[in-house]
Amino acid sequence: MEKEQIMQQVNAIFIDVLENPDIHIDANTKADDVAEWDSLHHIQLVVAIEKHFKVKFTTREILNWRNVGDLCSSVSAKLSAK
Amino acid sequence: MKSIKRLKYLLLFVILLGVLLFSIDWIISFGARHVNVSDLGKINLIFNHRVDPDIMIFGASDAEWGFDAPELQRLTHRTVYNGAIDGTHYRQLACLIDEFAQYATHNRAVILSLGPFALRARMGVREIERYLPVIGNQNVYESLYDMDADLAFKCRYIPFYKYTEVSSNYYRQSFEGWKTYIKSRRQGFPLDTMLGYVPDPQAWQRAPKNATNDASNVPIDKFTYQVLADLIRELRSKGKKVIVLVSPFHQSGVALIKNWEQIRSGMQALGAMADYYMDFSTSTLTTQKDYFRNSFHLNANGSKVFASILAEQLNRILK
Amino acid sequence: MLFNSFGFLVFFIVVTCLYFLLPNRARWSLLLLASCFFYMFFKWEYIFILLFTIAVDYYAGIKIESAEGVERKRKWLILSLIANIGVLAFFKYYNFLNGNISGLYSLLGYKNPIPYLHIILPIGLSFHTFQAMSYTIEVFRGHQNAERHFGIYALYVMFYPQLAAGPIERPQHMLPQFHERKQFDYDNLIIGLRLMLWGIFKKVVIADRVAMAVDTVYGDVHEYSGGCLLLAAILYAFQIYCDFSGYSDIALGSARVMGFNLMRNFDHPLYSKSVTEFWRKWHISLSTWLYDYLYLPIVIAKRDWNKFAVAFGLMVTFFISGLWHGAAWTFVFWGVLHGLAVTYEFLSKKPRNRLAKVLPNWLYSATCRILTLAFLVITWIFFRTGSMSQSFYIIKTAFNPLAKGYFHLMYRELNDDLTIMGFARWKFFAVMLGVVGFAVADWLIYKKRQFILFQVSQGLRWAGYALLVICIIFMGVFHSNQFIYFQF
Repeated sequence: MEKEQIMQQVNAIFIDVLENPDIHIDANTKADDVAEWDSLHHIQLVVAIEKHFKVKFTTREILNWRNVGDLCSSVSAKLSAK
Repeated sequence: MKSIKRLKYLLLFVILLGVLLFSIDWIISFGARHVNVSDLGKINLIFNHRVDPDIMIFGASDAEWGFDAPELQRLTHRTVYNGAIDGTHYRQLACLIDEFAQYATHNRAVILSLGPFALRARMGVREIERYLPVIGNQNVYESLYDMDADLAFKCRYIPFYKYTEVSSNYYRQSFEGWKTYIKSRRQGFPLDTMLGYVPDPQAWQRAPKNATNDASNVPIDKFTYQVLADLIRELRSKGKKVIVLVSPFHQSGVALIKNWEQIRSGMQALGAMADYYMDFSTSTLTTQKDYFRNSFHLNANGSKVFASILAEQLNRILK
Repeated sequence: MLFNSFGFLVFFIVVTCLYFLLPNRARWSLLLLASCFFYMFFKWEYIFILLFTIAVDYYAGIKIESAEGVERKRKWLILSLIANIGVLAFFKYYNFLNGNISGLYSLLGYKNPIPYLHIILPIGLSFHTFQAMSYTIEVFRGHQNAERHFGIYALYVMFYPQLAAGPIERPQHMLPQFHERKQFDYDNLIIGLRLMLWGIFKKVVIADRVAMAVDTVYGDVHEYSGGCLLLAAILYAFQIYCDFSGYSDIALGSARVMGFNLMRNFDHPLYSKSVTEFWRKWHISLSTWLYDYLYLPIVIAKRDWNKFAVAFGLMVTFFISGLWHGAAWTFVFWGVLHGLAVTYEFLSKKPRNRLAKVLPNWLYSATCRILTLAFLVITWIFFRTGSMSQSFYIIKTAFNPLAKGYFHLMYRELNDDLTIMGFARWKFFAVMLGVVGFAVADWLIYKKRQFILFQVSQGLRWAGYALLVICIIFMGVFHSNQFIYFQF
């Protein structure tokens, strides 16, 4: 899957989980940039992404994400390893 | 470099602030120096050499509330002043008595009143704020330094440090001092009308809730004993009659002090060094609850009666 | 050495001046020496505890970095965590655990053979062990390189402005600052001094004065009316806030003067609209620590439980947070109550958002603020009393305004004076005026997002500083005990 595609699907998950249709993310988006993206929702996002792409991240990976770009590269790395 | 230049403003601010603080300090201190009532005032009066009565009384709270100076004055036809300071130990009073001995030429007799706890050791300085207006006096400074060197040094030499030690009472007293100063500028420094006596109008009180009612040992502090012995010797060398007096306290108090007899014999030994020794701890007063506010303090009612008994004895010995 | 003591003033001036006079390469040794002096002022023997954990963590940090493979790294991390938590557990929780064991034994009719130990809690122990753990964890996570300079690592753990009560810093934030070359900077000087001034004001003028009233009432709970108890509980909220945020301001300010930026520890927490928001604004360095190293790993590990993972993570985190504050069940209970509140807020987010849309904005926020403050005031009762039965008694009495004599505020003292919570009447009103004045000032700072004195002309601003100095000198309380958070 292309990075673009992953980003679009992640964006859709964000809109769904955070219940805000106006969210638009890019690779540099951080938690601070999205109002609803607080600590408590972060986990729900992770779970939704794991379900959608049918992948499983390690704790270490999750903790190392600094922005949406890191998240998407993790996803694509997992997918290509499959 | 720009930073260094801007420091100029900070420096200017600090200087202006300093000037402001020193002015406030001066205003407060000036008022405090002119207080003539309460314990602060007593110390002021003595260090301004304004007190020189026929009969002078020193002691702690038992004496401050127990010796009705105006009544004694009326009954003995002699001038009397109550120089006792509440909660204060003889080690801390020594500088006051010392100063008094040096300047008082008119005075004939000095009463050293001993409450039941007078010979106990005491840690630290009590209410240093009462001594602040006169802390520049070497006598005062040395005796405070002896008890708490750090505190005495800081209060005397570090600007404004003393204000971290005082209570709001100090400011109120300073204000009163200004009033006294403005009212009686011409007469100098008048004595207060109660002559240092603090009447306590209360009837017998239950002991405060947290006070223990268990009897305890009150060991005699050798150092305090020595201080008193030295004071007696000094006062006598200045030609004053020294009266060591065990002040009256209610008989319920005896039950609270295990070694009262031992303390009493220590006081008796001090009495032997003085001209006269009077022991009121077994006086008829001590059985009456009406005369006391609690086990160790006479109330106004009791001190009036005590004054009449004491005056009779004083009249006899000071003929 | 307490921040509000004369000794610290001298210490601070001497250290700061020396810092800028010395060449850059000597500065770390100065700071380390000063920090050792500062620490040993309390109880010098305890420096060996600090030395021990510093040495372990320093070595572990290097080992974690150089070890091959996650498993090896983890072993070193666990070693470091055991050393830190072990020291903390021994000094802080030994007697608490032992007391509970004794309770169990006596339930079964036996006597506990393990002796009770008289241990004085080392100053700042809970703070610097957490900070040290943050270092090894961050090295393990690969967010931080191991520090090779032993002196600088030691300084990271015991930098004197934050040694006694935080903020609990992070290696990424602090270590680079110790390595860089600091220039004297006028703005840093002014910002730092202003923070210190404001902090000291909060501590000695507000907190310690209010403490007198609070201590009077809490000292003899059964003597006072419900109204007094309620007032004391509310005043305690202001006391603990002024006390701890005052401390943090002094810490931040004294570091800032030398050019160090410490993390912000408070963001006007008393005006929070929810308990969750409160924890984002109160003791931020602790709550982010717990979030990063405890809550997040738990929730990530249990993420398949979905919402329950969050609830579980919150409860565990707040339980530990309570325990961190003190080795007593009242603190644990306090933590659990906060955990429940935050969990409730997490689960009820949707209905509350719907409610917010219906109600006028001002009404909704005002209600939220009042409810949150009420929750804080009530839970802090457990924090203050240290006894469950007494806390429940206070809550029962303070919230029963129909009881006879509830509004009875004035008391006659033994010497016939009428007092309110131990203060003469006029003084009590002056204190209340002070607290309200402070609350208004704090609110303005919160709303304008900066120190109010910035808004006025320079002359007025400096006059304001002068006024603060005068208040501190002539109205401050200097004979109180330590800062509340020193005991944790």
